[in-house]
Amino acid sequence: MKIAALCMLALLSACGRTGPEAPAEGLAVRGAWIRAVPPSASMTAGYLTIENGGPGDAALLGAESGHFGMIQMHATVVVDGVARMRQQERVVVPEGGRVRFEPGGLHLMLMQPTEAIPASGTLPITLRFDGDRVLVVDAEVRTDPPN
Amino acid sequence: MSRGTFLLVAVVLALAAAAGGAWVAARFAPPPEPVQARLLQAPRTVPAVPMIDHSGSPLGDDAFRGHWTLVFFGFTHCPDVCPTTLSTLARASRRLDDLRVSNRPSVMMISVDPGRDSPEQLARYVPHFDPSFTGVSVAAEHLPALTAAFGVAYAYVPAGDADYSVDHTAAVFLVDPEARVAAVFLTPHEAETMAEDYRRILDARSAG
Repeated sequence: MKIAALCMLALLSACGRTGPEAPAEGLAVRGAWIRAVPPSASMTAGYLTIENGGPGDAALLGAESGHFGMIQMHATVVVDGVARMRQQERVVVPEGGRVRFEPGGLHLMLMQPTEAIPASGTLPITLRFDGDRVLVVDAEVRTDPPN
Repeated sequence: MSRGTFLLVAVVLALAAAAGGAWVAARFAPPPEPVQARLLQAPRTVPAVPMIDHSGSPLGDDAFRGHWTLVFFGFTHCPDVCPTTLSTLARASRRLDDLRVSNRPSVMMISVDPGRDSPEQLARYVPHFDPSFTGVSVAAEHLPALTAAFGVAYAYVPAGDADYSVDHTAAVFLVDPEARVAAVFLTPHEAETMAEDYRRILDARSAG
């Protein structure tokens, strides 16, 4: 039974490699977290750091999660003290560089929660990069940024 | 007077002078300036406009009187700035727990989105960050007069699925016990600095 399961797993991962979606070689995501918000909140934000070991620049094109009907990338821009949110179609992570999504800056805007946003635990988020590359991260739900 | 006694007297006098100098410096020197907060040179009085707190009770003209208040203008359909600021305010507030109750600041989020933020909606949102926080609802027709006194701007902009978003001044304001806007904390906000600045402003006020 165990062997059968392992074979199935191997088959599945093999499918993953040969399918349209390629794993995101060279890309790493660190410190992914989601702001815990009141159960009544209709949205929250996700933050993370993307590191690109290359080769080549990478562009984050979007994100998905089974827990949210829609995720958009936004940047909070403060102009003359006024905070404005501006949607980003793509966020480029240069080769050998990193991009931080952090409070008051770039963030994943997590909308249409399919159920109340939990107060703790982790939620998976799938990041879609150019070149049909995907990366699944477990984002920790927490009140304050991790250190 | 022997040489030894003379030296002893000289040392004692020097120590006394140093201690006296330190006392005078501590007593009469201006208190340390706030690090992040900007003090308003001409504090404006918060105008008395009708306001409703998140429990549905009207707030009277005395809402800002007799205690210090940290005020933030935000809205609940706000994924980044508002929860970030309310979380920071919650941490700053906890850092001031040692102050006596009358010196602790009240914390208020005044909604710039009266179309979606009913008192009930604010009740489900604001106290989550700290049970002592108050969500305040102000009717659209009264918001301009209130925000003008703080120098707060807000504008409604289309935002995809969320229907609209609200661009708004992200600063936190400190209102003194005479209901005057005394200081402004510009972004980015940091809980520890905010709490320490609050102490400095409080000390300066009690020294003055």
